[in-house]
Amino acid sequence: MRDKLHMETVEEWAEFVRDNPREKWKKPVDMLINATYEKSSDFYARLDKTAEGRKILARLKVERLNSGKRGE
Amino acid sequence: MLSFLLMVDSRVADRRVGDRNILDAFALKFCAIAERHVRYIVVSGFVAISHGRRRTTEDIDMIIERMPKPEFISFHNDLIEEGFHCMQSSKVEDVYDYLNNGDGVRYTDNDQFFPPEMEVKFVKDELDTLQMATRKKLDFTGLDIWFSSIEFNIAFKEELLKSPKDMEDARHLRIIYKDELNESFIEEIKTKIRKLRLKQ
Repeated sequence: MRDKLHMETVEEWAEFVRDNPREKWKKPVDMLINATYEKSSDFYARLDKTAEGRKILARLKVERLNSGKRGE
Repeated sequence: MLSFLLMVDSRVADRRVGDRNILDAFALKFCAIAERHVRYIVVSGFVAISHGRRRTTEDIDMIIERMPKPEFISFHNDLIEEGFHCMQSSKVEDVYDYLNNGDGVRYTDNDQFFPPEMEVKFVKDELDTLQMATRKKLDFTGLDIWFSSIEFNIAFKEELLKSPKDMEDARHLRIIYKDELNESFIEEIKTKIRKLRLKQ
């Protein structure tokens, strides 16, 4: 369970997004998403360079295929 | 920190379109193809993220109307021609069987199956049918994508999914759409969720 402060931070950011023009909040969100994908892409690419890494990637793929069995 | 964030390698830069982030570009490309073949909705986490929620995701969830196999084959082949790959199988008949059995099938835009991915499912019950019937394009997102309504997303996250991340997504959407939400519709959806998805 995350603490109250975490939810307060979520709420403060949501209010900022609601009350400010798109250009003020979109850029930091884009940077976060792109940076996350940059790091994960680098990580996966490094794994893909070795036989052991490729085994890990295969396991990750199976786990991803088995995840997300939600009722939604 | 800023300079670090701006140093992106070519692989990442190649996956962007204009000023869109990687997730936006991926979703827009996939949805543009889907639009040519089937009625669809994007649901759950990406709805909150495209409203400025400060998090990311590895998968975007899409629900599509049930379609006959020949029509699905055309849709799938269009996706493959545009550079998408299905994680479950390269055989379209197998992919269709997965969908028909109620499973999700996942597509990535690279043959190494690195995220992001689109998880696609067929409509499965009257809740999904109602989600599809009340789908919306949401101006706030700036994206030409059909989404399930904000009320549906809030109801699912508060009544069914309930993880801290989902509760925060719902709170974020409630703040963005303060004074615009149809609370009685949210309650109606929650009642249906209890009846159709939470029954033992």
